[in-house]
Amino acid sequence: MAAIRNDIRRLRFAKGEMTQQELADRVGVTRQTVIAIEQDKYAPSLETAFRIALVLGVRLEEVFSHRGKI
Amino acid sequence: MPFREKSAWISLVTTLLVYAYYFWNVSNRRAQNGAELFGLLIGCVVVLVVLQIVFHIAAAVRTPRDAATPRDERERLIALRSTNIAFYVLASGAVLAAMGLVFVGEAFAMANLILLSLVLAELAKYTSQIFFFRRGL
Repeated sequence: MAAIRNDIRRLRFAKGEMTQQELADRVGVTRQTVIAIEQDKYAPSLETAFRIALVLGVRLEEVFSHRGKI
Repeated sequence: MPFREKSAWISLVTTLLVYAYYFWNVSNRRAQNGAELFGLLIGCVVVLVVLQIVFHIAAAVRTPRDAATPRDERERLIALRSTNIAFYVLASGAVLAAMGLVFVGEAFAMANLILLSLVLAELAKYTSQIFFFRRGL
C-alpha cells in the first residue's frame, strides 16, 4: 500500500459527479490507473498528480497527502 | 477485466501450454537430432504466435476502447518491473545452462536449458504483470 493517500473520489463527486473515465481521459491515463490511484495501489508521477489537481480545480495538497514516516 | 491484464493472461497460458508440449517432447526424446529439434521448436513458435494473435484479437473485440488506448505511466512501470524480474530468471538460467555444459558437456542439453530459461523468464514476466495489475505497485 502506498504511503501517499488521496481524496480524488470525494473531489470527483464535488466536481459535478465526474466519472473515473472522464477524469482519466482529461488527465491522459487509463481508467484502471485512476482506480488504482483512488484505492492507494499506485502513487502517480508528480506530473500526473499535478494534472489530476488541475482537472479537479484544486491545489495539489488538497488531493494528495503523505502518511508515511520521513 | 482490463485488456492489458487479459493480454498478460493470454500470453501466460499460451506460452505455458505450448512450451509444456515442446519440453514434454524433448524429455521423451521424440526429437532425436538437431533438425528434428529445430522443426519441433519452429512448429511450437508458429502455433504460439497464431494462438496469441487469435486470442488477442478476440480480447480486443470485447474491449476495443481499452485495447486502442496507449500504455500510460502505470502500465509502462509495470512492464519495466516485470521485465526486470524476468531478467533475473533468465540470468540465473543462463548460468545454470553454462554449468550444465561444463558438467554434462552436451550441446543438445545446453540449448534446451537456455530455451527453458527463456520460457521461465517469459512466464515470470507475465505472472508478475498480473500480480502488479491486481495488487498494485
